Amino acid sequence: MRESKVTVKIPRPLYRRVKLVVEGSGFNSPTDFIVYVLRDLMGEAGEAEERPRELTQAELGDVKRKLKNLGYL
Amino acid sequence: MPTTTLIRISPVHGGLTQPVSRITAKPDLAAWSKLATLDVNDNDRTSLYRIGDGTLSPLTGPMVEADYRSVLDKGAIARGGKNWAWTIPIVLPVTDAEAAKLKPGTEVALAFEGKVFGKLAVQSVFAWDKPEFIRVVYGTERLDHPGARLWTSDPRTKLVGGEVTLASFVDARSFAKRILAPTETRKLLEAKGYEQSVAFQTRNPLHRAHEYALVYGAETILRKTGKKTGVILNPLVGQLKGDDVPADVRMQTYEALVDGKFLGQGDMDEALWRSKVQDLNAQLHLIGLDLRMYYGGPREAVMHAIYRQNLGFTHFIVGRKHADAPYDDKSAIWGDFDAQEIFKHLGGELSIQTVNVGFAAYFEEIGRVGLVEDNKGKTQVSISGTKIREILGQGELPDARVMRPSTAKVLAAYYQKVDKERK
Repeated sequence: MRESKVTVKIPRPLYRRVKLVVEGSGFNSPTDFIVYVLRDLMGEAGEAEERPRELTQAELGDVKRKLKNLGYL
Repeated sequence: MPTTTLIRISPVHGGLTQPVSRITAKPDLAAWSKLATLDVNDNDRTSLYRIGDGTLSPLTGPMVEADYRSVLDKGAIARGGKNWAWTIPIVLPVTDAEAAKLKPGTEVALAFEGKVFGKLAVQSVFAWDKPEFIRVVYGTERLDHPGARLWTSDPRTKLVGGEVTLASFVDARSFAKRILAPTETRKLLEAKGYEQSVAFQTRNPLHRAHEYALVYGAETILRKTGKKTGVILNPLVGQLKGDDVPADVRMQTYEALVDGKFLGQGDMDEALWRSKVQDLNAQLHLIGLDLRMYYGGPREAVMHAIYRQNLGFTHFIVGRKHADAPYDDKSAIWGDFDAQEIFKHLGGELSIQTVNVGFAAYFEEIGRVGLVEDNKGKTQVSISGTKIREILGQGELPDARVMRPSTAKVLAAYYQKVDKERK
């Protein structure tokens, strides 16, 4: 189910700070925390197609048909 | 003289410009089926689809731990540097065994009765302190009420949060065409040119006094602004407790009311509607909302308002004892006004406006339904719920001053069938 993982190096002082943040936060480890933060950032930057979007013409047509069938248009 | 129409549709909750859309017309079911599978129940699936269609915007999946804690601690979720009102966590429970296999950063397929319908990008797996959840959401540590039993009867003990992507939902229920997503209701409001709109939540067949809440709410905002008003009968058709009337039967009663143009007949302020050149029944729309009940009183009232804001409505009617379900000994969990008062103390922003309405009844002296607070000392026409049930079970219709015949006929047929099956 999972793809293999890779190792990413980060400065040790930063790692120590992450460890402090993680203690008592509910994250199981610094890795879990870093993955969470990265996913959050990447989600906003790289997944534009998954963000709210305008309806396509075809979808708009479907909506109008549905409302018309209900007698609302 | 030309008139100017200023269509007004509520903004999406959480500061979004469009409702969340996590339902794809082109699901990669083959790829999803290769993932580890997480089986969910009917309640879970319903909530996930309301996330998917944007009714629960700005959520993009079941709550991660940070949102869960924020809801319990602050009554809000944080988005874009702001707090937005949110009063009941939207959770996806899992068993301990399932939780042990779920790791943040991975994906799992979501399945119902063995059939994959979506995937979840796991972001958070955390312990579920049910006593705390119940104490905060319901405002009581007692467990002898329908709301608490939703959770105590669920054997799952952990929660998983993340982002969902779902395949389209094929709804085979008889009333499926009446269930509209935020993109559809928003298009309806725009196409009809409504300058304001008021939604009424119900999970019950409508007695005439109950139905009056919608009439009262619509007339309150119409009287105040004179604006073109959309009137939305917006029943919940998701999972209810066992003794509630099933959604298909309720929808038949609502359809009879709407198709017959009976709403407010005999009870509405006809002069008001005429003076504003508007027509209550012509501006009435029956729209089903497929979500579960939490039986959560005040906190659920806020959630009901959030759903309606995401559907685009500008106003939401809050009655006394909204979403109420008492303790098993019939004593009240919440005060009569708690569901109205909570909106004065929200933990975050909420755009939709509430219209408070009190108890109503038919009064002999005025010959119509009115608010109890406006008709003190007058004679109420009322029949107990038990008596109405008995009358309907006999195939007879109760006093039309209490329940319209169009509603009663549907219920009589239903109860006769239920009683016959019990024998």
